[in-house]
Formats: sequence, C-alpha cells, structure tokens
Amino acid sequence: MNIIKGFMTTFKHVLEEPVTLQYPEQVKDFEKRYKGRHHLRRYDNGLEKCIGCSLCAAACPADAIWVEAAENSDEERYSPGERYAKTYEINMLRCIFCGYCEDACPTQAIQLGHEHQLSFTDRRDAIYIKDMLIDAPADGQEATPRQVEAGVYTQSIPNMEDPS
Amino acid sequence: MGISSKLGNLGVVTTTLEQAVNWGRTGAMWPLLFGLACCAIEMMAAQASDYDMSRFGMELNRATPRQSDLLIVAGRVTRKMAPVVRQLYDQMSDPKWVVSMGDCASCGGVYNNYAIVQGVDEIIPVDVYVAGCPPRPEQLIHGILTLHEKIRGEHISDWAV
Amino acid sequence: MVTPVKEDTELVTINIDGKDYQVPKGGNLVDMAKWVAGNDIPVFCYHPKMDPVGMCRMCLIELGGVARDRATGDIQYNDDGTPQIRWFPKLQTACTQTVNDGMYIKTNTEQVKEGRESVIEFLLTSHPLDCPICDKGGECPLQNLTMAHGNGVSRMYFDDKMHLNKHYPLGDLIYLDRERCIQCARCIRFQDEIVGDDVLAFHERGRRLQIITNSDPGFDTYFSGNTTDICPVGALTTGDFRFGARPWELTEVPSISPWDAAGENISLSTRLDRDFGGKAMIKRVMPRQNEYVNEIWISDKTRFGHHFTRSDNRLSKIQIRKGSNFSESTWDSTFKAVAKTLKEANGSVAAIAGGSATNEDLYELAQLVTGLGGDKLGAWSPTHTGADLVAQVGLPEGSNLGELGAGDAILVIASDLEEEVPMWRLRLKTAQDRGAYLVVANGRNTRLEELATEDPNIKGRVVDGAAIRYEAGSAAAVMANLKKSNKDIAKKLADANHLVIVAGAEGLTLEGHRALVQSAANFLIDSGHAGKVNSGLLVPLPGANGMGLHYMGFSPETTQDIAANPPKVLIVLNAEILDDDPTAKTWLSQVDTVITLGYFMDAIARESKFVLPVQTFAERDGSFTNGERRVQRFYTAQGPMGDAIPAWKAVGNIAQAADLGRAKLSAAAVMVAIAKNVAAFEGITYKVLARTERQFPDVGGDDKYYGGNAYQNTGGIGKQIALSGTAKSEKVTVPDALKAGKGEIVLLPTTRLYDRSHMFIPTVMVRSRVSLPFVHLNPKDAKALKLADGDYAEVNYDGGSVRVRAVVSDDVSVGAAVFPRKLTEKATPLVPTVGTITKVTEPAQIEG
Repeated sequence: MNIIKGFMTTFKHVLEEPVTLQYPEQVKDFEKRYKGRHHLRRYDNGLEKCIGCSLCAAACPADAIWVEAAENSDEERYSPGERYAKTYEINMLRCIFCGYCEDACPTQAIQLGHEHQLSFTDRRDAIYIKDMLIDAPADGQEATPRQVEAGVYTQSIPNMEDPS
Repeated sequence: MGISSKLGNLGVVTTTLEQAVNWGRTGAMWPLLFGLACCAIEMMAAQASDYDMSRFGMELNRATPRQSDLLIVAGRVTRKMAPVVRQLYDQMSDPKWVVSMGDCASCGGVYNNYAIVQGVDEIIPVDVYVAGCPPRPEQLIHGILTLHEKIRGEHISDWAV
Repeated sequence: MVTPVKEDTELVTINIDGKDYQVPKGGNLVDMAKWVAGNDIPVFCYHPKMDPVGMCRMCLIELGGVARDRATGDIQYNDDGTPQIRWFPKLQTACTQTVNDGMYIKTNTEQVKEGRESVIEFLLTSHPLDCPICDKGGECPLQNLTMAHGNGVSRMYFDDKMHLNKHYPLGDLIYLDRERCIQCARCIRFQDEIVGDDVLAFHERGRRLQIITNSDPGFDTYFSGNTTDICPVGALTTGDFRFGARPWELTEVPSISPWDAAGENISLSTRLDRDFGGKAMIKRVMPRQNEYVNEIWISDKTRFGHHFTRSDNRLSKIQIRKGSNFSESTWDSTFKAVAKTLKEANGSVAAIAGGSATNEDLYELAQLVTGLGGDKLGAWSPTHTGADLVAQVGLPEGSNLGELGAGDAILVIASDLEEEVPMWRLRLKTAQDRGAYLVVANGRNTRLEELATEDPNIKGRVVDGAAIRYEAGSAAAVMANLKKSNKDIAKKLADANHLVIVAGAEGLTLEGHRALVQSAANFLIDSGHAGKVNSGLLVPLPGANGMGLHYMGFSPETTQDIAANPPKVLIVLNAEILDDDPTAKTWLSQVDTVITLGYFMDAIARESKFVLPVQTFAERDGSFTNGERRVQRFYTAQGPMGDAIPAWKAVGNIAQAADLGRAKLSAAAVMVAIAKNVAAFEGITYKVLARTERQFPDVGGDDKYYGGNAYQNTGGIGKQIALSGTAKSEKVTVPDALKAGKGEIVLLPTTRLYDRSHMFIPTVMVRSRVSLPFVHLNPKDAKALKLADGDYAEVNYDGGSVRVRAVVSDDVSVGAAVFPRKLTEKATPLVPTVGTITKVTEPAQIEG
C-alpha cells in the first residue's frame, strides 16, 4: 500500500511542468532591488552626474572603486559643477555589489543595474573604466566633453532638478 | 609527447579533431565536489533542479580529484587552506580547468587581510573569474559557459606538454 | 620638550567642569583646557599661534570666579563650606580669557551646548555645503564641528543663500571661495602677525564682508600656503592641490624640506596616481609640527616646489659617454666601469658635493674618495663658508629660536633672509614681536630691513633704527669694527640675554665671508654669548645639508683648491657646477674624467663621462643636518623614477667594485657607520631621529578644529648635534673689497628664493613669480652708464655675458650692481666679480 502511495507522488510530478530554468536562453526576472553592475548616469541635458567626489570609493568596503578628479572648464565640460571624474574605475572582481556607493553618491550618479553576466578569462578585463560604466548619450544628447557658454554652469555642486 | 606529435601536421583533420575533442570536453565536464564558503551554497543551487547544471553535462560532482576536470574554487581561500587547494589541483588529471567563483577567490574580496590568499591565482592558474558576492547561479553558469567558449578555442597542443 | 610650563612658571588652579587643574598663569584658557584637561573647547577664529579676537563665538563657555567680599576681599563660602562661585550671567568666549587663580568654567552644560549649536547654525546659513567637491572636505574644522556640535537640520531656506565668487584667485597659488568663507580672519591675522606683511584685508561690511588682497601681484608673500592650512573651512585652497585627492585617501609621509638651511619639517601627502604609472605620487606638501624648527609653518617654495621630483627632465637612465654621444647602460656594468676609471687615476681623485646630498650620500662619497687615496672633498657652492665655526659657536643643544623674546638680540648681516632662508626670517620676525632687538645690516635695502627694531636713539647713515646700511662688500669690516663704528648697536647686542647672529655672504668673496663669520664668532665669544643656550651663530648655507657637508669633511675652501689644482677624476654629486659658475669651465677642462651623480642632465652632466641618476629626497630614506645642526630624517614617499637609486647606494656599490669593502644595504646602516666614525654624530641612529614628543601648542592629533591632519609629527623631531671644540676669538684680516676699474662695475650676486634652477623651474605654477633677470643699479652709476629704469643692459663678466633689464633705485649702494644668481638659463657670476654693463636697445633674450 505504501509503495503505491510513494509512486503516486512520483507520477504526480511526472505530469508537472519542469521547474528548471533554461538559462542562458531564459532569464529570470530579477527583483527591482537586485544589484548588478554599475552605471554612471547623465542628466537630461546629457552632462555627467558624477562630480568625482570619491565618496563612493570611501564608502566601498571592498576598495573596488578608483576615482581621480579634475576640473571642468567651459571649453571642456563634462559635468555641470566644478569637478568631474577624470578616471573612474570599478574592479568588478572586488565589488561585492552591496550598493553603498549608490547610497553615498550625493548626485545619484552611480546606480546599480541588473546586468549580472560578469565572467572574465583575464582579471584585467574585470576593471570597468569610465567609458564602459557611463550611459551612452541618449538620442539628441550631445556627448561629453563639450563646449558650453560661459556663465551657465556656475554652481559648485549642481542642483539635481536643474543642473545649470 | 602527446597526440599532436603522433598526428603531425595534418591540417584540416587536426582542426576537425580538435573541435570534436573540445566539444567532448565541454559536453561532459565533471567538477570537483568542493566548496570553501558562502559561494558553495550558490554552487549547490546551480546544481539543483532550478538551474540544473546537468544540462551542460555536469550532472556529477566527483568527490575525488582524480575523476574531475573542473575545479570551482567557491569561497575565500585561507592561507591554511591554500596548500590543500593546490594539492587537489595537482591531483587532478589533465586536461583540467579552474573557475574562480566570487570575489574572495578572485582577489580576496573584502577580506583584505593576512589570513586570506589575495586571489586563488596566486597558487593555481585560473581560467575564468566570476564576479559576485556570491555570484548567483546564473552568474556561475555564465562563467562556465565562458569557460566552454574558452575551451572551444583551445588547441590540442595546449595540453600536449 | 616644548611645553607652556617652564621651571620658573607660576602655576594657578582653575576648575574645569568640576575638576581642579594646575596651569601656568597667563596662559590662554582654550590652550590650557586642551593641554591639561584634554577638553576640546571648539574654536574657529582662535589659533594658538596668534592673538585671540573672539570673532566666531564658537568657544562660548560658562565662566565664573570665586566670590569675594567686596570690602574685605575674603572668599565667601557656602553653608557646606565650599567656596561660593559667582557665574557670569551670559556665556563668555573662552579664547579671550587668560587663566587666573580661582577661575571656574563649565563646558558641557545645556546652555553651552545650545550656544554652540546656534553658532554652527548661524555659520551655515550661507555656507554652500559643497563638501563633496571641496578640497578641505574630510579634514575641515567646520565639517567636524558641525558633526560634533551642530543640530543637523537647518531652519534656513537654501534659496536665500548668498552666491558669491567660487574660485577667485588671490594670487597665482591660492584660490579663495567667497561662499565658503566664515570670516574668521585667521589668514589676515597670519599675514599681519606672523609674517608681518599684511597683504590680505577685509573689504566691505556685514554680510558683504570679504577677503581681498591689496598687493600687486596678488597675495605677494613667500608664506601664502600656510593660510590654507589654518583656514577652518575650504575658503582658501591651493591651486597645486586643487581636486588632487580627497584628504582621507592620502598617505602622510614625514619628510624634510630639500631647499634651505632651515630644514622645515614637512609631511608629503601621497596617493597612487594613474598618470604617474600607478606609483605613489606627492599630491601636496603640508607642514609637520616641530616647534624647534618650523613650528607649524613652511614657505611656499617648500610647499609648491615638489614638482621637480617628477619632472620629465629628471635623469632616469644611466648615461655613459661614447665619443660625443651618450648611451644607456646597466648599474652592474657601470659600477665596474666607474671603479676601473677611479682606480686608474692613482689617487688623483676629488669630489664636489652640493647641499641637497644627504648625510648618508656624503659619508659614502667621502669614504670612496679617501679609500681611493684622494683627500679633496669640496662643498658646493663656494659662496658661503664658516660651517666649522657654526659647529663651535652655533646654537647649543636645546636651543629654540622660538624662545627668543624680550631682552634678547638678533643681528642679521649680509643676508636677505627672506630670499635665502624664509623660515628663519619668519621666526626672527616673531621673535622681534616678542621683544627681541632685531638688527639688520646689509649693503642694500632688503625686505628684512623694514623689520629691524625701530630705535629712536639710533640714527643711521641711510636708515634709522637698528638697521645698518654699509658700503657694498664691506660686511666683514663692519662686523669686525662693530664696536667702534656702531657703538650703540654693539652695546645692545653685547648686553642682550641671548644673542643670535646670522652671517650671510651677500657681496662677499669666500675669503670675505670667512672674515665676516670669524668676526661674528669673535663678537659672540667676547660678549660671553658663545655656548649659551639660545645664543649663537647661524650661516644661511646653501642647500638643505650645508652643515652635513661640513661634518662629512667637505669644505668650500677645498672646492677652490680643486679648481686651482684640478684632479684627474672628479666626482660631482648634486652640484650644478657649470650652471652656477661661469668661470668653472676653464678649470673643468683640465679634469680628465668627470663622474656626475645628479637629478638632471645639466651642463656638468653633459660634460661628464658617466652620468648616474640618483633619487631625490622624495623617493628614498635619508637625513639632512640643518643650519642649527639638527639632524632630521625623512622617509620614502614617492615611487621611483626610472633607474635612479639613492646616491649612497650608487657610491657604495662603486666602492665595492673598487674593492673598498662591501656596500651598505640601507640608509640606516650608513647612519650606523656615520655614528661610529664621525665624532659629532655619536649616538645618532634612525631610531633616535624618529623620536617624537608632545609639543605645545597642541595642534596636531585628533582635534577637530585646527584643520589639516598633517601637523602631527610622527616622523621624529630630529636631534641637535652638540657644539664641539672651543673656538677662540681670533684676529681677523679683512680682505680688501673688490675695486672696479674705469668703465667697470662690481657685480654682486644675490640669491633669489624663486629662481630658474633646474630644481625649481619644473614648478610651473610659481613660474610667473620668478623675477625676470635684472641688474639693480644706483642712480649715480646708472647715469654714468646712461641707463634708465627699465632699459635693457648687457652685463659682461668673466665667462659670459647676458642681456637683462636694468632696475635703477637708490636701494643699492654706489659702485656696485646687484645681479641675482640663477635668473637666466646662462651661468651668471657666483661670487662678486668685476664686470661691465652696457646699454642695449634690443630686447633681452629672456627665458621663462
């Protein structure tokens, strides 16, 4: 009798849909809060949000971020404020995707997205430089650096709603 | 020594043979049953039915290095564990590959201290590094697929020492 | 130890938060609370080095005193027998209080907390809060005190904030952010009180109050960088460090200024840098507190002059001459080749070393030369001498220029200290403020002359007060005959409690300077000051290690001897002989082989057979002996440049290749050998030099309000070498001053702080402050030469000629033209010489 009971369970499962996810053809929907690799964001006008303040690097528990800052000029402007990130690198092999950098960022420049396919055959490839991290300018946006009129961007730290 | 020296330069035949061999290697890769820390939990999940690594011919985790050809270093390697990891690697028979799973195995991760090996590639050659802390099963599988891709590009002469 | 408590200090009892403390009478309450009780009363405007002004109101405390009966003066007691305290009804500023007996203060009551909170909120009403991009962010007193005492929430609207100039250049080096300024006046007071050159001021009033500079060019002083250190907010920042790094990312490495005889203690803030190949790189230079040497100040040359260490022109590869070309080589083969050349010279080997070589380098070099049978060790440059007398009648062990004050006297003769050793000039100026009698004697007007004590009783030839203006070139005679020709001044000096004489070499030949220093030593010995603490002789020897040269056996007289009898092989270490001295090429051509160890491919390197790259102070360990004979060590800060190695290592390995014993493995090991073989260095090891002590005022450490965390001295305060030998008052023969023939004029070389030397020219941001080459003439001479102010003149001298601008004013004496060194790329006279000046119409070819 018990044997029949046991096989019943087995047969029941034979008829069920398999649970296996056919990765990589099928990808599960991640929770919104999932933290994948980082993106550096831009304002609507296409200027970079990052001001190179290094607070993300300071907050990083794994020492994965390297920032070197430089000064904007109206001839060569990257971000609306005085300062921009000349070098911005994240070592994906050090990063633990904790999101502290996102919390620390005063301009919401760095955000963790949902990309997760991060495997490397050479560890040097794991260092994502600024060009790889920053969003490409959207349609109609001018790329950075760009030349702007003098006197438009006068604030040291831009206002988030109206960066000029 | 090895097969290449016996075959000589046979052009098309070798290339095709290489492809066949590499296909065989990618299709039936047996990892060593071996975990070091939290990453091993995700590795188990990758083997369970949700992700089911046996789809890639990895249904068996061998409990002995002699029968394994893939070492997944899942977790931080302490200095004390380092000789053990190295011995396991040495005991595996060629051809063999190493996946460094997660930040700690790849570079010490947050454990930047004297007790942890700052990257398992200090002691054994690593083929693929998988980022994440710990990597999701998807990420591990992606790492293994990256390894497959790498293997498909290998030549017989690479292993014919 | 530098403490506020001396042997004869009267102590009083004060009560801080219910606990009694013994403190020296007359001390400042803020300092004393911190020193004895570790009670950090927060301040913005107060600084222990300057007078209190009570402007920021941050230091509010509850203040009270023991109640006394008005009629009898007896202490009134409570019923329980404790003395009655009479509290002020309102909060008082602690920084304006001097401690006295029976003072009671409370620093942690609700009222005090509320007071502090309100002050912070007030200061932040118009602060831009751009901390993320501010260079001060992370070590900012305003940030720290806001975190410690602020409310966290503001009741003010952001839109109402003032928007002012964000990045306003006060000078070439310092930038002002008017939004961040909290108007504490620390910078203004520093320029006024410490430097004595009030180039900063407040402008307008109330909310429009702002800092301006009233000099042209802006912020024209050699100490401007210090204002950025003491600025309690990010209002003043240096152009050099702008966005260089965040302060918390920096690694502080203790070091010593490589520029002059003061030996300023500095802290090199380093960080890895992508553009520097991922190596550690100096991002900024900060002062390190050493109350014996530089207190907490450094000169701008020290602060901004670090760029030469990473200059593209730095020698990074070994260069060996093959015919007229140079080819690169490796160290091992070079050591052997150099050793072979040296051995073949059969003892005809000499060395000339400059003042930027360390004690270790010099010792190893001396060992090599003597080991090879040579005995000539020359010091560069042969302009200043008298180091042997400084070793005998200098400032004794335990002296501190910061202790000079009322009743003491200082004589500065034949030196423009501001240009030669700015830190001494700063410390002597503050000594004068404390009441020391400062006498300035020179053949021309210098900026130091303004600081000479005003003395209505003394009438001078050109200037009144304690300033002597003598005929150019006659400094030695003036010093020798001081008692006769300047009786009043000589008496003041002789009667002073402590006497410091600074004897420069301006307008003097080497023989003349020897006579001057000997006369100065005689004066000290005759007046009984020799050997007394805080009294003695100082000579502004060129380079950071002028005294080290002496102790390791190098002397400028030997340099003259080497020039007179050139050896077969000459080793040159950190001495730009051909760039400095136009007459050197005549005797250098008689030297068979020149081996150069240096930083740059300079003129002497181009004439050498072997050119070996050596490391600067930034890349290696070592020690310098400063003008007060304090041996101070510095540490490796920056990543190496190419193949350069420390000079002691290069020399030691050459000696090893020449079978003269094994090369030492570390700088510390060389110091052990020095301690063993050089009597003056007995007992000195790197460990001794690394000793630190608690210093007053307490501005380093973990306090939240003196700004900059680099003040803390973790690298050691060094060790002053004891006086050795007993100098006697010797008869001095003053050599005749140079006489110009008909149509000729005496050219008097002077030193400028900012010049076009190989070491300083890579500091691009200061370049605009480097004076264009000029010759300074008296109107009488100018008239004879038909030159007007601003004309172009060609100066001809032994070994060359150069076209410069003429400056005409009666600041210089008749018959002599002041002609500063190293302002042109060409070599100009090193020592006084006779030359001609002719007017030219073509503009001068001026570099830089």
